[in-house]
Order: sequence, then C-alpha cells, then structure tokens
Amino acid sequence: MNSYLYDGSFDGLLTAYFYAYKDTDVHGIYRQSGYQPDLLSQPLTVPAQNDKAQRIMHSVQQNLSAYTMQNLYLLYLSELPDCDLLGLQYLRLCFSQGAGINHAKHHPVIRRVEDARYKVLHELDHVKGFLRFQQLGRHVFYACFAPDHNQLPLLISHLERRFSDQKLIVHDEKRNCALLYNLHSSIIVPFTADNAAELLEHSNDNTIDLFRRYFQAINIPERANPRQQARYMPHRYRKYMPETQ
Amino acid sequence: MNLIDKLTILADAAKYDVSCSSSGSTRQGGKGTIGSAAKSGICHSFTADGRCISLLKILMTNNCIYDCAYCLNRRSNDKPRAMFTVDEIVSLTMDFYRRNYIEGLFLSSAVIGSPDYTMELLVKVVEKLRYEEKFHGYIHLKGIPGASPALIQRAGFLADRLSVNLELPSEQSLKLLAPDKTRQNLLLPMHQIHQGIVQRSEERALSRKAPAFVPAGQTTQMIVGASGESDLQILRLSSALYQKFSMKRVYFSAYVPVNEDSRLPQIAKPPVLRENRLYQADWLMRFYGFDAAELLDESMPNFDPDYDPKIIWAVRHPEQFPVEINTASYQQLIRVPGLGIRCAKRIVSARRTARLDFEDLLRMKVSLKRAQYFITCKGKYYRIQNPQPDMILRALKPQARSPYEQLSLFHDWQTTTPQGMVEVLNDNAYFPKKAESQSSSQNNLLPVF
Repeated sequence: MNSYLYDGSFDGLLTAYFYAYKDTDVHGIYRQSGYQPDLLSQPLTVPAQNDKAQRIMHSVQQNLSAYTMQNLYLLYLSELPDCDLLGLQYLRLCFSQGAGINHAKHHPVIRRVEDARYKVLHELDHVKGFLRFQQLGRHVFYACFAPDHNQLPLLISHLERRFSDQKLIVHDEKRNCALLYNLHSSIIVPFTADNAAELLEHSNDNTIDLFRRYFQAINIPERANPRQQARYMPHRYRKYMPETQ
Repeated sequence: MNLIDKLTILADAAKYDVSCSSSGSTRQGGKGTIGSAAKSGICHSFTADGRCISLLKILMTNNCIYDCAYCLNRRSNDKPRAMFTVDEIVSLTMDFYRRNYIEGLFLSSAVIGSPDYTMELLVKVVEKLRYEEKFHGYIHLKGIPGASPALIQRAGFLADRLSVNLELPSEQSLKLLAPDKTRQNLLLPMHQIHQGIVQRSEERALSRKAPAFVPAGQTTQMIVGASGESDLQILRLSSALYQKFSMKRVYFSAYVPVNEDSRLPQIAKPPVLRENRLYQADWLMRFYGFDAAELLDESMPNFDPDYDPKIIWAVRHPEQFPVEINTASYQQLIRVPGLGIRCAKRIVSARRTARLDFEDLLRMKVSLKRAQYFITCKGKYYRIQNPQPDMILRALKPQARSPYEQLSLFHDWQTTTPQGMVEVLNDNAYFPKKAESQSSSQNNLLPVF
C-alpha cells in the first residue's frame, strides 16, 4: 500500500496523479504538511514536476473535457477529507469511460465530485458577498475571512474586475495566506495574523458604523425570521461581518 | 441633521420596497474604474427578517406631496422628514461599494415638488455616479409616475433596472387607497420602458456598440392584502404584465399595517403565507411553463394555505400522472411536485447513461417526499401503488405539532382514527397528533403516567 505525498500545489497534485495512476495499490494521496503516517501504508514523496503536470492537464483537456479539468481543480481547492484520492478515482473513471460519464449524476464517484464542486462554488458565491473591506490608506483596502474551502484563487478575477482601482489585501486566516493586488496583477503570498495586526494598528475606518445603522434600519421587525437569516447567512461567516455584531 | 440620522430615516422609509435583486446585468468597466455587475446578482448581507441586502436601498427624500393610505411616508403622517443631497448619496454609495458592503444603489423617492423635479434629482445622482465616479456597479432606479418621458429615457440609459410600482392590483383599490395616482400614470412609463427595451435590443442585434437601455429589465411591485382582490385576479394581472411589458419580475409585498385608516383592513400580522403562495405561483409561471389559468380558476380563486400550488395542480390533474422518469420530457418532469429545475436537469442528464430506478434518484439527492406519488421508475411506483388524490393530500398535509408534546410510553393505539395506507407509512402517524377531532381531546383527559 502506497501513500503519495505532494507539496500542496496543484502541479504537485497532478504529478502525484501521474505516478499513482497506474499504481494498483494506492492507499491515499496527501499533502505533506498535514500527513500523519499510519501503519498500513508506505509514504512516497512526489516532488512537483511541471512537465508531468502539464501532460496530465493537456491529456485531460484533449481527451476529456474542460469541465473535467475544472472539477479536478475545484476538488483540489475543496480541501475536503480524501478529496485528493477522490480526484484520482475520478480521473481513472473518466479515462476509462470517457468524459460522458460526467452525465451519470447517480454514479457514486461523480456524485461526490459534484457535491464537492457545489460546495466550493456555493461558498464562492457567499464569499463574494460577505467579504468586508476596511480602508487602510487612500486606496488600500484590507479584508480577512476564513472560508471552508480555499477560495483565494477563485476570487482573483472577480476582485480584479470589480475593484480595479483599489489596492487590495485579502487575508485568509485559516490558511495563513493573502491575496495582494497592486492595480496591475495579483499574487497569493504567505501572510500571518501578526502581519495583519501590524497593518491594522493605525487604521480607523468608521464607515462600518454607517452600514451598521443601515443594517438595522432596513429590517422589518414585523416580519422577523431569524431562521431564514441563518440559512442564507450561516453563523460561521458572521465573525468577519461587523454589521451583524 | 447629520448623515447618520438621515440614513436612518430614509433607509427606514425605503424598507417596504421589496425588490432587492441585483441580477440580469453584465455591466463592466475597464481598468482603473470601479464596479462590475454580476449576472446572477450577489447578496451581501441578510437582515433579521431574512431578506437580503444587495443594494443600498434608500429614498432621496420621504417628504411626499401624496397621501396614499397604506404608505408610511404619506403627507398626513407625523414623521420626521429628511432629504439627502446628491453628493451625500453619491459618497455613501461609493464608500459602501468600495468596502464590498453592497452591490450597487437602489434609489427611490417620495414625490417632492412635482414628479418631474423628483425624477430629475434621481437622474442627477446616477449621472454623477456614472460620469464622475466612473461607477460601473448595479443601479436600480424607481420611475416616478407622472415624470416626463424624456427623464425616463435618460434614466434608462444610465441605470441597470427601472421599476414603476403598480402599488395595488386593481384600479378600484388604487382610486380608494391612492387617490393621487391613476392607472394611466403608472402604466405609461412601464409601456415606455418596454418600448425602449425592445427598440434597443433590436439595435444591439445590429451593432453591439449600441448603448444598452435598462439592461436588467424592468420590474414592478404590488401590495397584497390591503385590498379585496383574489389571488386569481393578482395572478392574471401579473401574467399580463409579463406578457405585455416583458417584466423581469413582479414583486408582491404582504401588507404591513403601518397606518390607522378606516379604508384599510385590520390585521394582526402581515399575510406572509399568502405572499409566499403567490411567489410560488409566480415561479411556476416564469420557470416551469405554467399558465395562470392552470393554477387558479373561478371555482378556486385563492390558493390553499396548506398546500403549494404545484401539488394542488397535480392532484386536480390525475390524467397527467404518473410520469415515467426514464421517458418523460423535461417539461413533464418539472411539473411533478417535489422535482425542481435542478433535480429535473440531473435526471435528464443521468438517464443518458442508464435507466434509472428509485435507488438512483435517492443517490442523486432527489427528494421523494412529494414526488413519490406522481412518478414511476421502470413502470413501478416507489411504495404506494396508484395513490388517489385525497390520499395524497392527507399524506402531505402539514402537521401542526406542538413542540411541547410529551411522548408517552403508553400509546393509545385504539383511539386514533382508522388508518389508511398512507398514514401507516407516514412516520408521524405513529404518534397521536393534536388538533385532530375528538379522539385527541379525549386523550387529554386520560391520566398522565
């Protein structure tokens, strides 16, 4: 039994798929950082190799479909338990049955892939709305959040399109990284809570008081429906939404 | 008066406007500008009444020359009055937008001075946002009834969505409750917007550089429960609005009693369930291919509070069922109670690869609670063969269960009503229910162990 370990990058994951694809005895595929050795399997560390990743990517796009490739990427971002192994099963299934197997929504593997896809994209919709910026400098804005799935790579295009004249720092507290946008391009860099505290030391942005007041004034008390509110805006997101506190 | 007080008064005055959607537009700015519209719309927050905050929904002023009976801002009400300046609204919108609090602006106003003067103010705000601030976010503007066509035209080129409120579902109610407004006044701008949209979309077919006119379409809203119209009348009206004016949405707003007035009904709570049923019917008409006449008719002019309109339609049309999952068309599938757009699409997709049975449906997360009575897989029902309409209705009746009911070890099986097949299968039927004829009242008299 082999456990494949990769460095946490998508290229690394595709490289792991490259080597694990023909292996009949795969126990699991894990990120090196969170790996806990077990008694049953033997760990194999796979370094990320760009050419191998490219081969997989190219082959999926040529022989299968862009949709399949997108699913693999979203599975990777979902960070659900066993999502990497599921990706391998999905890849094997698609190559053996053709991309048309994606139609079989009742197939157990496809079902789980679709679930993960829905979870990531559904949360992306939430995040696009629930992100809250505060102003640090003249055109510098900072936001922090802690999504269940890794949303930063998916947010880039949306934020660049929408706030193209603002410098942005979007801090993912859970993964200790941040998206930086400097009016021209975006990168994702490691970023800790200490960095954030340093940045926020001198900020005093009071616009939230206005919005908080608006949030209260627009409510119709006669129609109170906190259950509906909780369904649409789950409590776990509210920590980062100052108007709800 | 400072900004925060104005915001409180004018947001509070705007809260009965139901529309909150920010969908339908794909407006984009280039590099160095601010704002974009999302095709599907984005909700930014949700208030304690469960409604979303998508747009900054405010009135320009709540100082009104009209005296409509149902309205919070009517002239005869003793309320604090306020008015924003154009710059205040612009800076508020930009400040909120830059922090991702909102998706754009929804600007409405009470009528101050004259309709033209009010409309001109609204247009000024939008012009400033678009031209000076280079704002490409979503803007929803209220058309003021009676404003000149030229102003509506200007607004249409700048805003993403225009709406004119129909206020009440019939002309008589309008005369009674909103004597300052006439049917003509309300319908003319709607007609003009519709014409503009049609004309511009023809132009855009020739050249995509032609300017967009109200790209997210027009909407309207009416108050439900303030006057005596039946659901049938309301549904017919909204269906006509969809057809004649190519409305994107018709919103219903359950009447909230805010004024003391002899012309208005006395109610304790807003009729939110009725509003919900109307919205369900509205969805059936817009997405599920239903016609207003199929859902209600003279013999049944109102919706049933216990069942949704789709179930009622289905039990009244037993000839259409059962629907065979493996062969039915998509249009037939979405007409099955319990199957929605998403489930129907999943089914249509999956059956390309295999013939489906109920196991597969469950695996696809299709809920069979309601659908089981109306569908077959490979010619077989799920559990109950040939369910009859009354049996289905009994099984699907919403159960009013008190949360404080004490479960007893000693069930009084014999005192429950004779059970049909459905009730046996219905889990809840195993527990004695309250509010079911005499047998339950007898239960209460039994000694408690």
